[in-house]
Amino acid sequence: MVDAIENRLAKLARAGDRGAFRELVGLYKDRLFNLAYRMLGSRHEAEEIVQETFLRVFANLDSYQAEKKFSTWIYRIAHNLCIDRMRRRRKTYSLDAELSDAEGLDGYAQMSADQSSPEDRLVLSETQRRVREAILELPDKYRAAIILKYMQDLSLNEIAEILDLPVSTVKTRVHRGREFLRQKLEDSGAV
Amino acid sequence: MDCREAKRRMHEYLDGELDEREAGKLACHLRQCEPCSRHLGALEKTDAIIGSLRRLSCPEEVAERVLALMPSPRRSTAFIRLIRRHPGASAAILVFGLLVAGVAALWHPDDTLTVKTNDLDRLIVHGRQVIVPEGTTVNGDLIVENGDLQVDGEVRGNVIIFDGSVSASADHISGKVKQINQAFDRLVYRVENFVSHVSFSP
Repeated sequence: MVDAIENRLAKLARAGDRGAFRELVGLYKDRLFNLAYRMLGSRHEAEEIVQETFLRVFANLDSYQAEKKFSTWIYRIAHNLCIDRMRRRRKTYSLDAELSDAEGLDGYAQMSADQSSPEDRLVLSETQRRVREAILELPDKYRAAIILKYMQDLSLNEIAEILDLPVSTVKTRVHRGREFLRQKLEDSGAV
Repeated sequence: MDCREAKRRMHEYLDGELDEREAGKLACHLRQCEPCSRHLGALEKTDAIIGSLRRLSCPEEVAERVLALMPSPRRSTAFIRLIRRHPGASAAILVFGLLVAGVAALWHPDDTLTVKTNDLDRLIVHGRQVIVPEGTTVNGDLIVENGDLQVDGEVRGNVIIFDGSVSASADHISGKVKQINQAFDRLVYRVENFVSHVSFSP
């Protein structure tokens, strides 16, 4: 039912209805923000990804086909932007060396951990912090699958469409991601 | 079921995709295997922890910035939007239109008398009449457009008449005689001719 609404809004937006587009922004901003934040570990970058995603959606509304699901489309754009961002980081900087007291975080995860707001530092339980860090240590491939499944509550089929992969591959990535996280959490005593 | 398979089934179980039979086999294995039992416990906890991660809210300013950055509504007409949405079909229609225009260009229904032959100086042209005089031999093809041909002499080649008549006795023309009166036939002739010209050029 929710999907039908989004598809209809997208069709209206495509025809020039700004109010419809505004509604889509309202519907998806939090979902995209969570996806980007968990992928990149930085609030600031997550905000940029959200912005960029909506601008691209708006610019390409003409090519949106109502038969396809809007959610698949917008998630795909956001996910690809996150991947690009992650690749660019690795090329330009070499903060990949593990910092000795950072429990295996690469330089970026460490930096982003420092960027967390005061509210984050107060409210985050130890477990939350550990799992957040563990997710940022996940290899890119597994990270996307895990986040889409657990944070966005998407089905394996939907994730497969977003990532443009066979469902079996998505399953494998979720399973491996789970095992990786279990190991990290066991190592840090959270499970 | 061995431990390796059990571990695989655990994930399927957590995905909600384990059927009853397999679930039974897994439960049986777990009852007898302490390490696997602990492993599943750890996986279930991991699942729960990941799922319980806070959902954050996107700051309102981001949404406002997006809406502020959007360009003013494009006043594209329905027609232009239609073209944008179907670039392939639009291109195909455009190409087809050009093709039709090209074909129409091949087809020029003017009514000027035209004579094509290598031995033009031997022929007599009188108004709309073209005559191959008695005793004259035309070597090669003879083409007449919008005129009537009378062969009193000889033509050693093909004769083609567009929109006209030809009168000659059978053995005065050694090649074929073609009379083309309809525009379509003329078009077909021209196209065929074009093609054979192309294929015969050295």
